[in-house]
Amino acid sequence: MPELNIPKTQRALICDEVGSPLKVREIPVPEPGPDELLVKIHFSGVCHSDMHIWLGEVPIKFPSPPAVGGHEGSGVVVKVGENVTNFKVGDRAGVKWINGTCLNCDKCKLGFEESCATTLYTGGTRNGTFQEYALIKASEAPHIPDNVDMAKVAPVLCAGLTVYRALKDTNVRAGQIVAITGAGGGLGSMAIQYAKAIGMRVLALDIGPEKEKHCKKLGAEFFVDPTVEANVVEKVLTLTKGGPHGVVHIATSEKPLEDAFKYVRTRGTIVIVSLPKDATLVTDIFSLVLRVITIKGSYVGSRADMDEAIDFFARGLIDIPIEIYALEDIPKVYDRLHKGDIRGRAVIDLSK
Amino acid sequence: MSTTEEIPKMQKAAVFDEVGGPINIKEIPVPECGPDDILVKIKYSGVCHTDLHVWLGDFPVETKGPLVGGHEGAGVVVKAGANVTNFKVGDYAGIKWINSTCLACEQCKRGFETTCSKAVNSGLGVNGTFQQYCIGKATEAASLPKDIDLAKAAPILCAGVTVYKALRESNVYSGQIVAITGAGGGLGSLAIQYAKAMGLRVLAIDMAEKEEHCKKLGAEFFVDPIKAGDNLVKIIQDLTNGGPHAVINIATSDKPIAQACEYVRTKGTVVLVSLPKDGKVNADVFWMVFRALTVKGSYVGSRQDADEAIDFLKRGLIDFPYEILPLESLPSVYDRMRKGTISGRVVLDLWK
Repeated sequence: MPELNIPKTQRALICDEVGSPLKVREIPVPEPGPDELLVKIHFSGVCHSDMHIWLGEVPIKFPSPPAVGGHEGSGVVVKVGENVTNFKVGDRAGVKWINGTCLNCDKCKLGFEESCATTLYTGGTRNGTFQEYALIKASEAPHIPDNVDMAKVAPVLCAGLTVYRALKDTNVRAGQIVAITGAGGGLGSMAIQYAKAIGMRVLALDIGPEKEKHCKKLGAEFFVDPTVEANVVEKVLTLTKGGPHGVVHIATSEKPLEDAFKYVRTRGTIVIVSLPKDATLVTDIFSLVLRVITIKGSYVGSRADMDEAIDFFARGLIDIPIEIYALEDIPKVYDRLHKGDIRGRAVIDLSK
Repeated sequence: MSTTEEIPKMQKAAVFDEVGGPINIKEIPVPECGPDDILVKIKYSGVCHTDLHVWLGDFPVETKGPLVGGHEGAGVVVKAGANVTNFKVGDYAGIKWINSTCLACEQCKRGFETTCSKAVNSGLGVNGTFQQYCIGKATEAASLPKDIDLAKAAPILCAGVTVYKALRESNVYSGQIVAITGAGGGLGSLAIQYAKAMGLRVLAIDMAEKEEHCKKLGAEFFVDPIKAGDNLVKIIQDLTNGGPHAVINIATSDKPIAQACEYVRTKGTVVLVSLPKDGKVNADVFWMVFRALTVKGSYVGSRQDADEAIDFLKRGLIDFPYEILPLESLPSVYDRMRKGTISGRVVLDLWK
């Protein structure tokens, strides 16, 4: 089996324990198991959930810190385990949130392997993509086409996948209107583009004139700023002549979700994607039943969804701005994420 | 316009003048039949918990007396308006919750006339079926088969169609397990029967006294949440090998909904049917997203749904206990309903 020149140690951003300062250190390059790939990471996107995990805000914990976060890695396969048949050295591969599943339970058998009970999580329960070399089960890794931009494809692996699947989950059809809360961020920007690619009309909700310009440039037909609009619900109802048929909730606060219950069209679907700390959903049963509203939690996507999401990107239909950073800059990126300052996605360059 | 039977000028009806005030059995005029209406001689009317909610003013809707409640009226057409083409005198017909719709708005055009923006409700917007003669728009009235048992058909007009539709909305398929909270009551009993007729396996959830009743109707499993206490989730997940694929919430309180979100299978659906006063859905967003759960409201059923629900009854697949009582017993029926002591349905005989 051909092997490229793989070093013994590599640079990685280490998390010693929940909330501890993040520093770049040298750690060993891992060995792939018989069913795994070792991927040299060229670029890794930074997802808001990486920050949530680092801060201990979600019930996903590293089993044995120190650990490495990150789960949007695009790269090249440099080593394959002996049982691997679907990848060879030199192939481009993605390392995404779902790192491996059992492939035998009812969820896996039904094509929902992201809900498998025995899942490995990249940058969650095993080391992730904020390092130069990462592992993933070959059965779980997506192929990345040769002709695509590796920096730009990285955010597709989680942000793109998640919003693509969320949009499908809304059951909104081409020609109908989908509202997207937090439309100006990483996921939001992707959501506007995927929605347009599917033929949906987009109403973007976010804060400030900069985000308005950004959202409209990406294809949003309508924009509503809840901090400026006296009555958000009225405005959305008027703009959409009765309410959007679906809502994808990406914003990380509860008020946009409360508003969504009021403005979503009768029989519409609200898909929840964001995971703010301790968030609860409280809504009126009477209204939910009489207006026949559906609420769905949407969580990443399956391997089939992943292939489809990459395909839209490869066909040039998805193009969001990215900001390139070095591995050491991740704490600064987290700060900007927290303030909602990043338009588009932050991507770490590990290719040098 | 044609009639064969002599229609009286006055009739017996159960009337309340104010919300929560006394319900009086009195003589009131037989209503006039408009050109689009049918006048139905109500033989039997089921009593629905919604009627109780309306009388008590539990719903956030304006309720003005004097009002005749009731919306599960099965009887015979004694008069048909000049424009009516789908009913003739002598036909069996049912007056249900949706008394009339516009048939021209977006919801109606999609076959969702229950969410018509101009829907009028029997026993709320117009006098309902706790009277001997009731009008309804012919296009909305349910057509009942000629030889059907009208006392048994009455509860299908709301309870039956509602649970039938809720089961379909849950997306559970034959062989899978559906949990029903409040399984021993009117809707619950019908839900068990429809679920069996649809090839589903049933987990009935109610107070211990209802176990024999539920199992007799076909429930495979039974759990009393009070007895189960803190072990409820574990008991249910063990019984069903990972959780029921869906939960139909018929119990009239909020707590079962939060519990349902915990024990339902990953990727499962919780369907909300009951309308507890000021009820709220209170769900943890993280688990809703991570387990990709769906929570949706389901509200009665369309005319097509009603036809299908009635067809199951006609084919002998729906059997449930019901008591026939005179109209005068309505206040005591409401009392038993509030205490949760009715197993099955109470049907009022308007002519006893």
